[in-house]
Amino acid sequence: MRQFSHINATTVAEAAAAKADGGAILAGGTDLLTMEKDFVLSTSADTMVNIKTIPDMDTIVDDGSLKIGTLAKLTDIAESSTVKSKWASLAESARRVGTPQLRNMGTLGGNLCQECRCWYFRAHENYFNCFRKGGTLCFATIGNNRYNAILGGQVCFAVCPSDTAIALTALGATFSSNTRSNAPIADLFVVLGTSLGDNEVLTEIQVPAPASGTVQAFYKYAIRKSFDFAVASAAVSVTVSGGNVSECKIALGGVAPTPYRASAAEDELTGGPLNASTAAAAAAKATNGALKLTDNAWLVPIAQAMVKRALLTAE
Amino acid sequence: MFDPQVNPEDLDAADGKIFLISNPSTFLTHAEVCARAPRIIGHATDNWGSTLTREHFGYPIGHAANQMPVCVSGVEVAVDPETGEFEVLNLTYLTDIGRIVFHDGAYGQAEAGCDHVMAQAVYWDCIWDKSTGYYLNSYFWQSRMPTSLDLPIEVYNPQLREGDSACGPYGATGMGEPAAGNHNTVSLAVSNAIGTYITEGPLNPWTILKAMGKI
Repeated sequence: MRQFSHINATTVAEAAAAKADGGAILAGGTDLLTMEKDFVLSTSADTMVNIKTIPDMDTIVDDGSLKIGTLAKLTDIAESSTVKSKWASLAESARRVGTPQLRNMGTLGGNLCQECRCWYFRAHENYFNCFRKGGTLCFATIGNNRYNAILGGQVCFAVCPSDTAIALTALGATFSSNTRSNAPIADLFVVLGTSLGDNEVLTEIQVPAPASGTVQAFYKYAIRKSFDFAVASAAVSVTVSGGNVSECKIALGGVAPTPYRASAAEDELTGGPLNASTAAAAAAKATNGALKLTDNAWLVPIAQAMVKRALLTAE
Repeated sequence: MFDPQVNPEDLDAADGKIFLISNPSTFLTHAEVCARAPRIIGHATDNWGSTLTREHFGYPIGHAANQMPVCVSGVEVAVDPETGEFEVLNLTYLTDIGRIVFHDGAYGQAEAGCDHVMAQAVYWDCIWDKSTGYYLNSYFWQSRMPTSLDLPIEVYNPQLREGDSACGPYGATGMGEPAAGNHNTVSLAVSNAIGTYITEGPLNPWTILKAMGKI
């Protein structure tokens, strides 16, 4: 691990200024420090900016909509009676992250902003200087890409590893930072990570109250059941009115560089009833436009199965 | 001698021989088949059962490490045809370990053998980059070693049989997780469930989906 200095920020402004000076934002540290230990990047930040010392940024408040400070621990979200009762898919997605130890350390902001898990990106000592690190090539496209993106891949085919991001996308969440307020959660993610600026610190996530008649579910498929990153996951939020689906949001995880809205599947479902037949038809369209690489075609049926099962759970 | 790539459906076994159903005079003995098995662990030694160094209180003293236990296994699985996942519902194996000297230790080895079966059948996978030879999944989180929560110990059914292997000390045999080589039984159970043979391991979802013609 390279040497670094460490500061305890007490305000968001102080943390943002330190980040602008080249510091790295440190919350739970479960991703950042492991990357440092493995020399994943060729260079690293000179300063670790601890933001856990900023007061009142770990709160979970229901004032009609849900407001979660980005320092809220994943365990607290998973076990919050408020979140479980009204935003069950978010609680479930937090519960499925890592191990109890990781959830006790990891924060919501960290889960959203963590780096990808592509094994070319994560190789020891920057063995593959891939496009995501400033190189010219996505090695996964010519190598073993069994866990890489089937949807939305462009210059990089690493997938978004966050579980909570998928649930938040289906719930229509927004986020705030020191420079933006109530921006759509989709704006937080870009193919190469997050859209956060050099002086920007994520501070809060807002989730609107579910409309009457809305059901939601989060389904995750992982190779190892005890703890693992998603091979494919699906979060759905479906509002049924008069026996028909009036609004539907379906988000896919593990199969695209960002949380992926399956709009073709949403269109298929909207306006009709939600049942086994329509769920299967919508699931079949969830991966429309999938670009299969040499080893990842198996993700297509699994992603479709996750969508179908999430919809049937919500039925 | 027949082509070892012949279809299993074309074969039958009797009297220590495996033969072509269409032509029983074309056969391999069990010993010949075992000699060809690609995943035999270790090797059968020349002094299998034959080296006695001396007697001790009337019991033969030999080389315990060379006295390999014999085990047979049976596995029952349920396969999810949509995702290629499968669940082991029953993992039973019977080990003939000669004379049992330390029952709890022997049973612990037998149960640990079940862990090996599961780990080798489902999880252990070394993936190299084709161009560079780089070991891609070298981290524990990447190689997905199973934890105690991933191993279905509630369906393990290891059984010990105290037999007559007389050439180890006190009639005992070595007892080093003897079921470890039986992971292919899981593969056979999955093959039986989906109706087509799987010849690769571990049993990843993509392997099963591919065998089922889903991808």
